[in-house]
Amino acid sequence: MNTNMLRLMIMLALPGAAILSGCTPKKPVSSEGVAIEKTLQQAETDARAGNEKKALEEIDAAEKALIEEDKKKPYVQGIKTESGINPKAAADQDAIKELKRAKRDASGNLAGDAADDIDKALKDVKVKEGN
Amino acid sequence: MNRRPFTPFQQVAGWAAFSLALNLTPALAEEIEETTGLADYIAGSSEHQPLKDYGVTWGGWLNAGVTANANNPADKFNGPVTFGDRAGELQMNQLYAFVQKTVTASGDDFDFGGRFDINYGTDSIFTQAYGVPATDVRTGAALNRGNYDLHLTSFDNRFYGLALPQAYVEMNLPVGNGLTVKAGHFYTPVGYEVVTAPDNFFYTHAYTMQYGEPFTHTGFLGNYAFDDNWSAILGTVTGSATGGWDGNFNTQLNNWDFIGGATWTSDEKDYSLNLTSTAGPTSAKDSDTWALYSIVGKANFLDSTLHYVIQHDHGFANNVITGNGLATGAAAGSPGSRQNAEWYGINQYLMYDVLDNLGVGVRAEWFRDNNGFRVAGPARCPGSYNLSVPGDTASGSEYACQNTGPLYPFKGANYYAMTAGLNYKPLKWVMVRPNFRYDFSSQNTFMTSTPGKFVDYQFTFSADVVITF
Repeated sequence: MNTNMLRLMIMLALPGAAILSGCTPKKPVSSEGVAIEKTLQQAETDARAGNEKKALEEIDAAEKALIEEDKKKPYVQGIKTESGINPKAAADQDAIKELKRAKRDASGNLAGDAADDIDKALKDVKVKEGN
Repeated sequence: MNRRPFTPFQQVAGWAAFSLALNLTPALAEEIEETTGLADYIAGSSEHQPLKDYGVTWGGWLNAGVTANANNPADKFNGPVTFGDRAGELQMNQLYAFVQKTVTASGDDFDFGGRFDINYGTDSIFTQAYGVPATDVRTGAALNRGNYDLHLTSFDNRFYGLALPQAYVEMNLPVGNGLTVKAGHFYTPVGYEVVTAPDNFFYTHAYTMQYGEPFTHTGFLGNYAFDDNWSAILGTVTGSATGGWDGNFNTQLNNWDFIGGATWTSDEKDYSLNLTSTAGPTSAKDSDTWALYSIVGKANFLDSTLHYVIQHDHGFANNVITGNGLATGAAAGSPGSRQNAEWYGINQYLMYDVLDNLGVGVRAEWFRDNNGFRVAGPARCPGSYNLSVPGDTASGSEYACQNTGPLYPFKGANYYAMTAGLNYKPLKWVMVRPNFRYDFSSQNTFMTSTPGKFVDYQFTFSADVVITF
């Protein structure tokens, strides 16, 4: 066999074995995470119903809860963002960014846009909690 | 009847188009809008991630671009501008795939994982483990470059090759908030721009990223979060004859260098500041210092729609052969050819999200290669140079350049680059990035349509597409 291909296969096999040996079922979402997701679901419902004021309060509460959760369970935040390498940090940053946009849209009486922003934030929070 | 053989790019593009045509026909328009990747779309769900519930995921992308160069360079290289380094030629920069098991940092439990990345394309040569150059930076003697991912496919094609930029295992040690440690080959934590195509705003890259920083390391790297604002990295790297940069697995393993840094992030993630550094002996036989520090500041304004980034790098390599040293007439490796080289610069980015899927941005950069040690065009040439591989000629002809001429400018110089461009995502998994770029140098660095005739400026327009799987 071509020695280059053999080298490639060994390089594939070693981290592959290590990755698979580390496989364990996903950890359950924390109680803080469940509460944040519920708050965001309610905020999205209220925004879709046109209740910007209530949605704004809920977005604010979810954002504060996310920041509080980071204080309780800090994670490494690097500057660089290679695809997939630090999914928790990327998802947390995206969630907070979407919540800021949701607040801006809700304050500007753009309830539909705010609901879409909240929906994106909710997906990001689920990714964060899954990592 | 003789036919011209298909290029690697044509083969992959043809295969991708055929596969797409077979699979996309019954799809609905709204599915295209909702799916987050081409694989999602083709599978009709996220079933292509069978081990996702166990934390194992895979991903990848296809990145291809083209650059028009107003200088119409005779050698078809965009001077020292790398990655998209060819003028007027379509390049498949990255056909990239990775598989990973992420590790959860925790003070409660051990956790194990790792990651493996592979790239095929014209970018590979810029992210291979080339940290042992063909010749020693102090003596000029030929070196064994190692054989991790160099030359996996070289000599077959001038531009297309394989790279294995990451292959590491990682574990969480349950101390404090959780200490994660990587062991193996991994991307550098230094700097701002990255190799992975979907993660940069622009198709083209800053000089700082191309010439001022490492791309990868081989060794150990620990990560620890002290609290939600402060985190740090600390490690040691090897396999390199350039101060721990771009190391491989089987040469220079008795040379170990420091890598470390710290990051501060504000509560709401709007502001961050990062300092990273590498330092240590240049190689196993050369204890002269090779070091770098890099500072990156980021700020978000206007509800996170306006993004500003500033970066400053400063590198040092003591007692190395430089372009300025050789310009004195001293023989390579003689004391007169050696200097304490420095390189430094400042680059800034301003990016604005016009819409959720449309951003505009500018980048302005000054980079100084003080001694003619770091910047050399075409960079693909020294990357492919290897005196220790049978098949390469004794005179050291580089497979990527086929003796197109000497490197340029190979002198100390200032480099300035202004880039303006768009970042448009018509779908969540498709990104298009056109950008204009004007380069200016204090030396005649950029080839014209007359072979061997150089000017001090270059204007390019480039555009690429990234399709995420």
